[in-house]
Amino acid sequence: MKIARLLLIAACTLQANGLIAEPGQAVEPLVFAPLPMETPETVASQWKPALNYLGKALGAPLRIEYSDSYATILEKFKTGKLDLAFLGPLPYVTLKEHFPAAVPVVHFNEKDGRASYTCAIVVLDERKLAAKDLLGKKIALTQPLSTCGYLSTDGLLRRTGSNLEKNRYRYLDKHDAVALAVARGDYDAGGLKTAIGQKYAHLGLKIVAESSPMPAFSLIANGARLTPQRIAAIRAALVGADAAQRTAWGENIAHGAEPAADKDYDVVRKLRARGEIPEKGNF
Amino acid sequence: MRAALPTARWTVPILFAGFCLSLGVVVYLLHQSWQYKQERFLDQHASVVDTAYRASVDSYALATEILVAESVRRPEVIATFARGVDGDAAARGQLYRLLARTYDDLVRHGIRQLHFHTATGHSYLRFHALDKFDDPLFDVRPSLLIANTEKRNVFGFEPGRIASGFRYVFPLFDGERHLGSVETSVTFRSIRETMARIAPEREYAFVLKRDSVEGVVFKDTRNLYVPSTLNPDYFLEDPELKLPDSPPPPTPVMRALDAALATDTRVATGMAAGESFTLPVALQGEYWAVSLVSVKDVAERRVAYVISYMKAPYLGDLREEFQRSLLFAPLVLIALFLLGHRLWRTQQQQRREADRLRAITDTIADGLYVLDANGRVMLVNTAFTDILGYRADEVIGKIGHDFFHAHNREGKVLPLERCPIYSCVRAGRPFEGEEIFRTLTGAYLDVEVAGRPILDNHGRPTGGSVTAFRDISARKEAESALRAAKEAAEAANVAKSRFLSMMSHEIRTPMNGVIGMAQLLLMPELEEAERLEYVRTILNSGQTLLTLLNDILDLAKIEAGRIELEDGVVDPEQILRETAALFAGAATEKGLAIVAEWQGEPRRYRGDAHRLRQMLSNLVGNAIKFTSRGKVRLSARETGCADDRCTLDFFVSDTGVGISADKIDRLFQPFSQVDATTTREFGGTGLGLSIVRNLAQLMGGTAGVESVIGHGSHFWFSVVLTPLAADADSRKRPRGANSLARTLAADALHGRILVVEDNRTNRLVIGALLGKLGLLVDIAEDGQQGVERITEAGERPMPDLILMDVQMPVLDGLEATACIRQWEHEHGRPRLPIVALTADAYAEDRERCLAAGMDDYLAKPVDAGDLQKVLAKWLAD
Repeated sequence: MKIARLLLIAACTLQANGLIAEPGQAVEPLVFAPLPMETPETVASQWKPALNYLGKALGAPLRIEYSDSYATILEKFKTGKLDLAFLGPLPYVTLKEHFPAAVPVVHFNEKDGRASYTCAIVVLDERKLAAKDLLGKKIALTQPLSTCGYLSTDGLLRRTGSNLEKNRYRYLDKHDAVALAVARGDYDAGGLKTAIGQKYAHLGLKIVAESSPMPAFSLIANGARLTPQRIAAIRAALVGADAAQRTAWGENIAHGAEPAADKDYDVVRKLRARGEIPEKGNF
Repeated sequence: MRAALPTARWTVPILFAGFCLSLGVVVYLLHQSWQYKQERFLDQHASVVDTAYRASVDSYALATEILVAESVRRPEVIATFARGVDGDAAARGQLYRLLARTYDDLVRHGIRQLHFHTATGHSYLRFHALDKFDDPLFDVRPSLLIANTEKRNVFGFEPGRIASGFRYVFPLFDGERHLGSVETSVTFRSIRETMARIAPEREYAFVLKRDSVEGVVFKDTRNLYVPSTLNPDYFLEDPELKLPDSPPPPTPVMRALDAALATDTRVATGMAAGESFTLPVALQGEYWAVSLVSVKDVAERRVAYVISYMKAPYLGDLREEFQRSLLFAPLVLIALFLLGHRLWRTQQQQRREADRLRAITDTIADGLYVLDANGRVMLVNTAFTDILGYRADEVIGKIGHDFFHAHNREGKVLPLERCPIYSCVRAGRPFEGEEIFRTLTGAYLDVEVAGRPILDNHGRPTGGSVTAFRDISARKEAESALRAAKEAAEAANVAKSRFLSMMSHEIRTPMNGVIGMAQLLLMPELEEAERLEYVRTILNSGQTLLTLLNDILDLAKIEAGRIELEDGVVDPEQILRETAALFAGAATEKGLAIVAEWQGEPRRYRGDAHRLRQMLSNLVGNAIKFTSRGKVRLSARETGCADDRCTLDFFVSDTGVGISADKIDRLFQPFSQVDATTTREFGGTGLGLSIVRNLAQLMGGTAGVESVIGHGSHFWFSVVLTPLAADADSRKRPRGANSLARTLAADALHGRILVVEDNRTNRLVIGALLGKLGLLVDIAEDGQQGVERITEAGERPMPDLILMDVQMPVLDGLEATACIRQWEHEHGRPRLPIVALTADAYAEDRERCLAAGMDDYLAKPVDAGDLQKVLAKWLAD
C-alpha cells in the first residue's frame, strides 16, 4: 500500500508538471525557434540532436519553426505560436518589454565555457583599417534587434569618437552574412558576434573592436504556454546534459548550459537606454 | 439418323473442350498482350525519365565547363590559388573575393557548390560552407581522388560530407604545375528542376543508398537523411527542407505511392540489383507509373535512384481494355466457334458435294478433265485414268495438252495455242468433235470430245474448261470392220454373181452334152459306134457335173469346218502314179508329157489318200488346162519328221502360161480365178486351188505357188502325216478308174428291191441299174406308198431290201422308215434292210438316216459299183 501510494503521488506530480500526458491525450510537439541569423543547414545541424535529447527528456517531440528575423520570432512569441526560442540578449530584452511571460531558461556557454559572449567590429585585414578609421565607411550590421548589431556596433564606434550615423550602415540580418559581406569586400566593416567574426578569419577578417561580455545566447520559454514546472524540467534537462550527450550538438550549444535569470540582461538594458535603434539602414 | 448420333454426341464435348482451351489461350494471350503493352509503355516511361535525367546532368556539365574555362582558369584566380597552396594565408580570402560574385551567379543557376581542393585532397575553400576547410576528402570523395591523381575531369553523382550532389571536378594547373582541383556540384533539386523542364508532367524524388550516406557525411548533417518509405535501405535527403537547396519533400501522393510500392518485392529486388525499372501503381482509382532510374557514382557504383512519378491513365485504359477483352473474348469466341462450326459444316457439305461430284464423275464411263485458264489440269475422273492410263497425280497441275492431246498419229507436236480443244473453250466456245489422244503407253486413241468453257457469275469465260471424252476405238474398229465387211460382201456378191455365171456356164456345158447327146440318141438309125460315142459323152458330161458339185460341196464343208478326213493308208508314190495315169489321156490329147516321181524310198503313211488324190488332181487338171505345150510334172518327198509326224511336200510343175505376181495373191481365194477371161478361156469353177489350200491346212500344212509369166508355174502343197510301219496293210483300197465297168461285169445278184422314190427319172435309172444287176424291182412313189407296200403287202411278196429316198412328198423317207420299223416291231417281223438313196450327201444326212432306222446309205448320183457292193452286202445277209 505504501508503495502504491508513493507511485500515485509521483504520477500526479509528473502530470501536474506537464511531463506526462493524460491517457488518451494527444501529445503536441513543442515549437522551437532557432536564431534567424544563421543558415538553415547550420540551424538544423546544430539543433536537431539537442532537440531530440530534449524531446526524449520531456516526453514530447520538438518542432523547429524557422523565422526570417527577430521581429518575426518576437511576434510569434507574443501570439503564442512558439514555446521556446533561441535568442540573443537584445531580442530577449525587447521581447520582455512587450511580452512579460517570456522566461529565460538557460544560457548556452560559449566555446570558451563561459555563459557570455562579446560583439565585435571586423574589417578586411588587407585594407589596413582601424576602428578609428571608420568614418564615412560602409558598415554591415545584423538585424536591428541583434545585440551585436546596431546596439553593440554603435557603442563600440562611440569609443573612438565615431558612431554609426557618421557611417553608412545597412542591416544584412545574419551574422554570417555580415562576416562574408566584409570578407568579399562589399563593406568596409561589419558588426557581429565576435565568434562569428573569428570563424571567418581565414578569409581575411580582422577584429578591430570588441564589446564587454554579454549574456550568452539563451533558451527563452513562453511562460504563457509552458508551466513553470515544464520550464524547470527543460532547464534541468539542458543543464544536466553531460558532455557525451552534447557531442552531436551544434557549436553554439555544445559547450554546456547554465540557468538563466532576467537580471542577467540588465547590462543590455543599460546599453539600449542610449537611444532608439533605427529599423532600417541609412543607405 | 442413327449413324449421325455418335457424331452429334461427341461434337458438343469436343466443341466445349475446344472452346475452353481456346478461351484459356485467348485469356493468356490477352493478358500477355496487356502486359506487353504495359511493359512497352513503362519502358518508354523509364526511357523518358532516364533521358531527362541524363540531359539534365549533362546540361550542368556543360555549364560547369564553361564556368571553369571562363571564370576559374583566369590567370589571377590560378595565381591566387597557387599562392594559397604555397601557404599564403591571405590567398584564401582573396580567392573568395575573386569568385564570390561568380558563385552568386552559380547559385542563381542552381549550382550549389564551388569548392577548391589541394592536390593532396584537402578542402581549400568551400563557397557553400566557408567556415569548413582543410579537412581531408580523398577517403570519402573518389571523384577528387580520381581528378587529382589521374588529373582528368570527373563528372558524376557522389555523396558528400554535407550533402550529396552531382559533381563536376576539374583539375587545376598553373602551367605544368598541378595545384589541386575545383568542383561544382548541383543538388538533386537542380537536376529535378531541369528534368521538370524537360518532362514537366512528372514528380521526382531522389534516394540514396544507405551505405553511401553512412560514414561519409559530417556528423552534424547525418540527421538530414531519413529512410525512404519506398525502401528502407535508401535514404531521402533532407525531406524536411532543412537545407535551402533541397528538393521539395515528397508530396502526400508520392508518399502514398511509395507506401504502395514498399510491399512490392520487385522494388526491393530491382533496387538491390541496381536495375532501372518502371512499375505501375493503382492508387485511389488513379494509375501511376513510377520509374526508378539507377544512378551511378563516379566509381560506377549504383548508389542512388531518381524516382519519377507520373499519372498514367493509359495504364488504366490498358487494364480496362484487358477487362473489356476478357468480357468480350468469350462472346467473340462463341461467335467464332459458331462461325467456325458453320464453316466446318459448309466445308463438310462442300466436301460431300465434292465427293458426290467425284462419285458422279467417277461413275461416268466417259473420261473427264478440268483445265484452268493456263491449260493446267485441275481435276480428272476415274474413267480418265482408266482410259488414258495416267494416274491423277501425274497430270494434275500439268499442261494437259502436252500429256494426252495427240491430234494426229504421226507424232507431230501441236503447240498449246493451236490446240483446237483448248483454243476453242478458252475463247468461251464449246468444242465437240473427234480427236486423237495419247495414252500413257504412247498408244493413240480415237476419242469423241465435248469441251465446255467454265463461266463466271456474269457468264464470262474464265479461261478454264470442263472436257469429257469417250473412247471410240471400238466403234471406229467396228465401223472399219463394217466397212470391210460391206466391201467384202460386195466383193462376195460380185464373186457370187461371177460364180453363178460360171456355174451356169459350167453346168450348161456338160448339160449341153447330156441333152444334145440324148437328143441324138433319140434319132433313128444310129450306128452302134455313134450310139456308144453319144452315151460316153453323156456319161463324161454327167461326171463333170458331179465333179463340179463335189467341189462346191467340199469347199462348203471345209469352210463350215465339217469335213472329216479319212484315216487310211497313204502311199504317196502310188497316188502320184495313179493321178498321172488318170490325167494321161487328157495330157496326151494336148500333146503334153506327164511324169510322176516320188523322191525317196517307198513309204506309206496314215492319212486321207482320197483327199490327197483330189488335191493332186486339182493341181494337175489346172496344169494341163493352162499348159499348151511341154510337160506336167508331179513329184513329192518327205521333208522331215518329228515326234512321229512327217511332213510331205507335193509339187505340180508345168510349162504353161504362168501367172503374174500381182495376181498370185488372189489365186487361192475361192471363186476367183486369175480373171474372168481365164474362166472363159479355160473353164473351171475357180474352186480347186482354194480346196487344195484348205485341205492342206486341215492336214497341218499349206499350199503355194511360184510362177513366171511365159515360163510356167510351180504349185506345191505340204501335209503332215503319220508314217506307217513297212508291213502295215491297207484296209481300204483305192478305187480304180474303171469301177463301173468292173461292177457291171460282176456276178448278178438275186432278190426283190423296193425302190421308194418320188422322182420318175431316178426311178427309171435305179430301176434300170437294179435290173442290170439281176434284181426284181417294186416301185413306190412316196414314203406312204412305201410303208403301205410293206404293211399291206397282202399276197404280194415282201421285198428283200428297200432303197429309200429321203425327201419325198406325203411321207418322207425318215418317217416312212420309222413307220416300217414300228410295224415290224409291233408285228414281230424280221428287220428288213433299208438303204438310204438320197441326194442329201452330207455326213450328218447319213447319220440322220441311220438314226431313223435305216441300215446303210448311198448318195446320189449313185455309183453302180457302190450300189452293187451295198446290195451284195445286205442281200447276202
